[in-house]
Amino acid sequence: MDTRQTVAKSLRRLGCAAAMALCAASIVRAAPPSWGPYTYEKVDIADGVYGFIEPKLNAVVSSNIIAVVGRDAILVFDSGHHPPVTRAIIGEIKKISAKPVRYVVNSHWHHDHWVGNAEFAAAWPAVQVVAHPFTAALIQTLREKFRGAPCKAELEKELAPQRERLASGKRDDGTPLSDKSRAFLADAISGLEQSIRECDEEKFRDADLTFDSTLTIDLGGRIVELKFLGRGNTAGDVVAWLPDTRTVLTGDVVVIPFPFATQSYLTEWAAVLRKIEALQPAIVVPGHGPVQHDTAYVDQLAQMLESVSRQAHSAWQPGMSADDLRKKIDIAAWSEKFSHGDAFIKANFDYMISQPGLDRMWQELSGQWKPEGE
Amino acid sequence: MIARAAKPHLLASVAALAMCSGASAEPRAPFDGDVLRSATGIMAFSEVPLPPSSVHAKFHYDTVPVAAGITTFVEGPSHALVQGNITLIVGNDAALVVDTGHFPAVARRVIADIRRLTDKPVKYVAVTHWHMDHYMGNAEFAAAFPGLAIITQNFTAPMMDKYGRRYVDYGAKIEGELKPLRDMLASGKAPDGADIAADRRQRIETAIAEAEAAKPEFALMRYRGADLSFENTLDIDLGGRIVKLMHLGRGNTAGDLVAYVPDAKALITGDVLVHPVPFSYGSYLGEWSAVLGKLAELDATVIVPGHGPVMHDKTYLLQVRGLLDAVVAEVTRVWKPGMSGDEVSKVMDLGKQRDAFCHGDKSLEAGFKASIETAGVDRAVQQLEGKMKPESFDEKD
Repeated sequence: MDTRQTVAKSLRRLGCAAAMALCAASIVRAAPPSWGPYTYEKVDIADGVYGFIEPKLNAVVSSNIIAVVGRDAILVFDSGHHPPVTRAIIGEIKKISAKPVRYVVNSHWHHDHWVGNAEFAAAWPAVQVVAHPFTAALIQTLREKFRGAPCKAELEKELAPQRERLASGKRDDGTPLSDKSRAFLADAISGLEQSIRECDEEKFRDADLTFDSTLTIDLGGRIVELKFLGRGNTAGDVVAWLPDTRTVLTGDVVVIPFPFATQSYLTEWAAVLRKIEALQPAIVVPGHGPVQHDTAYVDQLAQMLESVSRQAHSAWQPGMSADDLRKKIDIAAWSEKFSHGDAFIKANFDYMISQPGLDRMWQELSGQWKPEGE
Repeated sequence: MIARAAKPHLLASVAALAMCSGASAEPRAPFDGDVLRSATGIMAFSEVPLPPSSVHAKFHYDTVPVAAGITTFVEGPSHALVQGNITLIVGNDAALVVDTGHFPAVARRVIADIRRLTDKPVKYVAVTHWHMDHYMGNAEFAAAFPGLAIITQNFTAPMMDKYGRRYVDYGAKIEGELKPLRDMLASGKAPDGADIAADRRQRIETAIAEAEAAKPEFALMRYRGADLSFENTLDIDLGGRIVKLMHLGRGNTAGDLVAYVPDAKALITGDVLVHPVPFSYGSYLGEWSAVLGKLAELDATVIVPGHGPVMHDKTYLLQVRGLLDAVVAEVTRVWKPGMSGDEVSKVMDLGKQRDAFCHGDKSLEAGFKASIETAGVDRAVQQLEGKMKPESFDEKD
């Protein structure tokens, strides 16, 4: 299916869910032309905690950005994908508080979570960028792909077939595009064109501080505990725990409405989610999607991953291929649970779990992990 | 809580914050004044007589190049009131300082020296552990370099909050601590009735003079705690130079931080390594050796201890490791359930180790006895009993 191929290509490029929502015509809304079709909402999450939230996936995704304001300083969790959007959010943060942003945390290495680092560094030159060492190292390795000529060339390659499809009005199999699909394509094209313009804007800013297990940050009367709870979405996922408001900022360890299981560690991921539940958070802020006021989604995600992992372990026979394994895993019930009948969510959930997700299960079971980012 | 360290001639020449924790609950010997080992225990005095002086004006430190862009302000050898070494590490964009010392006015002098050495801002201070002679200069650095982040290990941050905050009020207590010393000078007798010899009188006079000179320093002190704390590792990019902050297990304290600069093969240990005699007050004798083993495995050609001179090989580090192993082995050999540290020290024999570290120097032997044979043995016994007392500074056990 066309959209899935587009998604897969995007994932290969970004190793993440950027451009994931390429088929999400219904949720793309009008936005200022300066940053293409992207939208966000400012949300008061808790006392002194503000979210710039991607309430539904944008055509080209960008992480939720969260600002935690202390008496002396502000910490920002993830910095977004689009420099113009990050600049607008910086303007909003300056309206909220005169305190400096002293820390920017990158939850993991996927592009849509750290491109905005340089914008924060420009606004607050003393800012400290914080990440897990795995994340910092991988960003260093991949950075050149994400800007300038290589960035443009890759995006142009993705754009060409989309433009052709829109011009022809037909899918690759010859069937005509629905109005919804046509609208999706138009927004995807607009989003990719915006991303091409941003390839030139991107100024790389890497991590100042990297930690392996915990880092506790005192913002003045307010503590933020950064934690690496194990491998999950990536091998360097950092979550932030705000004990005073019992809020957890998860990065893409939790994504709503479906997990971005692109190069992940499904069995270990479930354990990480259980550790998040054990914190007994009152508020869960996912890497993408709306703020949650309970752990129901976290639990559902953990159960799903546990189920997939359990099925895969019991079906596993040495020498089995990834496709053989795929046939043994039943995710139909989970697909319904996550999608609630929404075809877009269902298509993406099914793809994520059964394709890259089960490829990773196979890698786990065969002991042949492929490095992330390749 | 006066520990056995306070015995005749137990001069902790190395100063040693004489962290009382872990020492026996029972004061086993009268306070004799040779060691100003107060309830707060911060002071221990050198055998070397010093003229009365203002600590901040006269406190001597040497500015020692360690490697390119790394400089240590090494505490002079003859101070009664100790201060941990302060180390500056400069990168292309920013500088990091390991420990900020004991005395605000000394910190100000060090800051002025740093400004002469580099135009890069000090963006980070790493505090190696919670003993006060390593971080009471934090507030001076924070005032001089706004926005700097003070970093320590997770165990250390609350201990600093607890004891550093209190310590600023310690100046008012100094006079009370000095009273027994003044009494001795007046009576000419030690608490045990022995006459005070001339050399000892001079040491006591020096102790009093140094303590008095420290009073204005306490008036200057302000407490500044940690902004960031980590569990195992924190790597800091100073621009073209990485500093690896690491907690490698319990040793001198439960929160020891060491700083390693791979490009310079430089290792800054804090009080995990102290020369010429280790400080083992409130320490973890059975675990410390493993930490030193990990340090020995690092590719380091220059080592900056918490106190003492910059070293260019691992000889001393390995010697300390051998000492700790020997103490644990000897205590394990003689200890039987129910035996106190005092009883253990009566029957054990660390003579060989004492000679290796002290070379017959009476001052060093006093320090060795206080730190290793008393406080260290107590901690080794506690470990054998499976009842490690919490580290503390001025609390009754």
